[in-house]
Amino acid sequence: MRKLLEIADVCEWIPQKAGKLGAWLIVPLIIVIMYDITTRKLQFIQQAVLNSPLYEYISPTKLQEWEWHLHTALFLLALGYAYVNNAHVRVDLIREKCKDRTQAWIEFFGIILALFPYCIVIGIISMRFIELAYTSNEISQSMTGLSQRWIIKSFLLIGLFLALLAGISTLLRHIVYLFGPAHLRDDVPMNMLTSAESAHLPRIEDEDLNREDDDPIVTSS
Amino acid sequence: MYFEDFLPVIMFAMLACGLFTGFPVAFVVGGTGIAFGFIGMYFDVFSMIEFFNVPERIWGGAAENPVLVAVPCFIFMGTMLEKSGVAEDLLKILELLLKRVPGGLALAVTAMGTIMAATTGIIGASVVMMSLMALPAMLRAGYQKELATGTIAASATLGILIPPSIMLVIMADLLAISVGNLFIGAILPGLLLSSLYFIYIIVISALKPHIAPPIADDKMVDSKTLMLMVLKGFVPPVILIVMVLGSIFGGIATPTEAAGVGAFGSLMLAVFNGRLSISTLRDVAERTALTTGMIFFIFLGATTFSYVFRSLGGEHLIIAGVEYMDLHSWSLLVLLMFTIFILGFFFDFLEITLIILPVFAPIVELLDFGVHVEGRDIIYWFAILVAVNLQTSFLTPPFGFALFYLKGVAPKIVKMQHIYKGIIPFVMLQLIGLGSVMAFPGLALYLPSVLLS
Amino acid sequence: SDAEARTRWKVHSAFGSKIFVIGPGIYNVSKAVEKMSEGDFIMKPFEPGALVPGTKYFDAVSTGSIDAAWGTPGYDTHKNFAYAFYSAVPFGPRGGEYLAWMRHGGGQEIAEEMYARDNIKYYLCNLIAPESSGWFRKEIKSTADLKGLKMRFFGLGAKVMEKFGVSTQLLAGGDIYPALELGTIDATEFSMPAIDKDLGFYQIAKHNYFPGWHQQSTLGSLIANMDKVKALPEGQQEMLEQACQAQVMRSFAESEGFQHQAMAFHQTKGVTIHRWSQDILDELEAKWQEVIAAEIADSEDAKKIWASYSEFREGYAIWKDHGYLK
Ligand code: NA
Ligand code: NA
Repeated sequence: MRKLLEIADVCEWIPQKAGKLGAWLIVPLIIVIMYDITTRKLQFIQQAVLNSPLYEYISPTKLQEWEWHLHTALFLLALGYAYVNNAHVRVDLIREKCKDRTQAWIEFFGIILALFPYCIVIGIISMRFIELAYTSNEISQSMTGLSQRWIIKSFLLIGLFLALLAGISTLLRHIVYLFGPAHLRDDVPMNMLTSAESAHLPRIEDEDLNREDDDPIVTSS
Repeated sequence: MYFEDFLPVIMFAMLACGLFTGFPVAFVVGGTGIAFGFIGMYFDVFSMIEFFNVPERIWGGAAENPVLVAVPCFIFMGTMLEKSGVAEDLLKILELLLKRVPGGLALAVTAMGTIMAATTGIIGASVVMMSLMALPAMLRAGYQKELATGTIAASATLGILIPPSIMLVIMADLLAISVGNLFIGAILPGLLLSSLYFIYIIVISALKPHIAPPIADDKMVDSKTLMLMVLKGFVPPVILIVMVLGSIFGGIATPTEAAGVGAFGSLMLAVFNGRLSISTLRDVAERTALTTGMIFFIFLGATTFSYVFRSLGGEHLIIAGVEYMDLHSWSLLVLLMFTIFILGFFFDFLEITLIILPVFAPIVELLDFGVHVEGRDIIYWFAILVAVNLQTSFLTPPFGFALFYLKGVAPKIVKMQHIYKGIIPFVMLQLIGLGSVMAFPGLALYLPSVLLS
Repeated sequence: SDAEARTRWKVHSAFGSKIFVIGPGIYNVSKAVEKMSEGDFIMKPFEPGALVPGTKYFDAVSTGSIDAAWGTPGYDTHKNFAYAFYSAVPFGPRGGEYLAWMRHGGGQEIAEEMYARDNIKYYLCNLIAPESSGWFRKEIKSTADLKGLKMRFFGLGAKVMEKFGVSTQLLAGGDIYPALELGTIDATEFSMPAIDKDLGFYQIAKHNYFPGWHQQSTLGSLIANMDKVKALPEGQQEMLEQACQAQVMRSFAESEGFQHQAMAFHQTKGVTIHRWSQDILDELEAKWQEVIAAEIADSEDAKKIWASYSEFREGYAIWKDHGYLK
């Protein structure tokens, strides 16, 4: 059982790292946009680029394609990252009133019946999608954009795989929590339980808020 | 009829049940889609290869869709403003300035939503940005959670109605009508809704001051201090909004690119405030990634669900249902509006437009509304009615995108029940707005007739 | 007829059903096929985005996740650049000459062979009149005025424009209209006057240029999954073929028939209709020759098509120069 928890940690580490790395893509995204609109007004720069070898890399059309490439890689790398940090939104009307154990059962079945089938079915079918892009050496539909579409399309598979890993990690923890020996239960970091919210979740800090609130403020573990 | 003809109906029921388990929305909606694909295979009305269309839809809808680049940018902007304290300073000042007006802070949020609506037509971006900036301040000021979340969700979705709006562009394309006419036609209905929110907030805050508490006397400051605070706290965000709006209306950037300008501007403000460090930047970038991942996984799931629903004949079921009623003119129009409203509980705007517009727009176009609306104007009037209705679909539980995005970034003390409860009065206002545009077609038709003649 | 024996196809359309000529085209084809087969072969058209996004249908047809798609080979160039020749060629032929090359100059065989590699059956299924050269906010008096112009332009024509210092933009569909309105871009290419009219470009750009050198006539296609086609009875295969041929004639007549009213309408709205001077056209064509020479260099398919196309046009020239009034 403790072994399961160790595997869970590894499975969580990968989407965590991928998401955090992917998060930095926002910086080049902003830079590309700013460069594109600035040089659109400063035509002499664009004209200089147009007549230089740089044109192959930074024509306006290519830059505008770089924008969605960066955006796509960013959000696909974050799919699993968001789950291990419990950032995926839930309709918690009923769930919050349930006992921790019931919540754990919901998560257990949800992962097996919804998350796994989704990631596996769409993941497998996306392999064909990527393969077709690779074998045809797919390029931009505009013909003057970026080439090698298979690279960015591969991020779909990567993203779904990261979400699958996040699901495996959470499932293993829930297995230990539900079926494991009592002494191990306390060692299980149950991010997905509302009474033990993940401590490293970066969002608006609850403690900043009005203390006179009639709802009991949930303390971070 | 066979059992399998009703699979789309059962799909709805399963989705609703699944949502209420509290398992993440994105996985529930996607998982329901996959499950019913397999059930469809069992009944021989779906085939495995059809799932191949899902990656294509994800690709065209979310990835290779340049408009959505605005989403991470605006989220970054909102997060950075919140993190660097700019948003807080701004709202503190608004609070002080608006202390004599009931619900002043909520009014400020509505005004901000209306202004931001002119910069983006992407719901995910505006809801998240507004929530990050305004929700903590409202809660800290002691606002009732329902009122705070309802105000934010409703004002932030104005962006889909007030131009520029990707929804209006898609509708114009489907109907082969002028984008310009639709853009201009949507302005008055958008402002009407915004005014309705204003009136509601003022009335409810006057009637129940405890849900929108006015500022306590001991927090009052003298006018000199206030002036300084205004300079320090008001000017930077105003510069930012001017940058974003100015880059669009000055012809420097497209609305999509203006989101990048906003993100860049928020970074610069943090630099000037001396609050930018690598760790702040990392924190903001990671938060942006979390929120972006949350939003797009919902898209991934929803596009799967909608595809399977359509493939199982759900679209046909809806159309057959409406046609079976065999109604004309006003009753058909009202039935269509009702259908769109109900579909809005479960689908996003794109799927609803694809189900309703191609089939019913040509029929509505030929209806006779007498002198109420002239023949050639009917299609524009109808399009605006659909647009107002679709804006509402972002707000209606259980499957309301705006509500999910808000919940995704809200503090933990804000529960889905607060959000669901808080949105009800605003959905009522939406219906009043919709009814007004039906009763007074001039709201949709007057501006285009004057400006584009 | 027996319901079990019926064939039902899901057909994606790259164009909204209301878009002039190119939208209703697939409905004409599907109605014709349904009537000819007396209801045994039903092709159900779907709006762009209903099954797959507008222009992203190639892989779906190839794998068979949709049965067929209505579009134009210009949307397939991401798979093979040479498909561009089957949509429109800059400084290309008029409708009659284009069809002549396709049917009697070897064009169609090469297209069929190329699509067949990806398990796709190609039908030439639509033909439309020239496009406008674009909507400009300012008058263009010489190619010098093009320098520094920000123009939304898609496809190979974009490379020609870039040679004149045009900064070609690839804006999102929804951004084009506001960008043109607010001056973020100075010009956009779009479609035929009858389509442009519906989209309201006359409201914001007052200079409409002709001729559309980048698209003198445009071929449309119906592509279908090869296995699905082979599974059809021979009679139904023939119906598909005939329905497409009928649609080529119908679309050509329709697209020729309704441009002049649209242009007259634009004029009443204060639009100036311009014709590029011969000097400008000559300069554009010279640059086009440079672009195409470079482009075909690394594509065997493109070389083969270009050879066939050029050979036919050279032979045809004597007929064109003498058979027709200038
Ligand atoms: Na907007
Ligand atoms: Na809804």
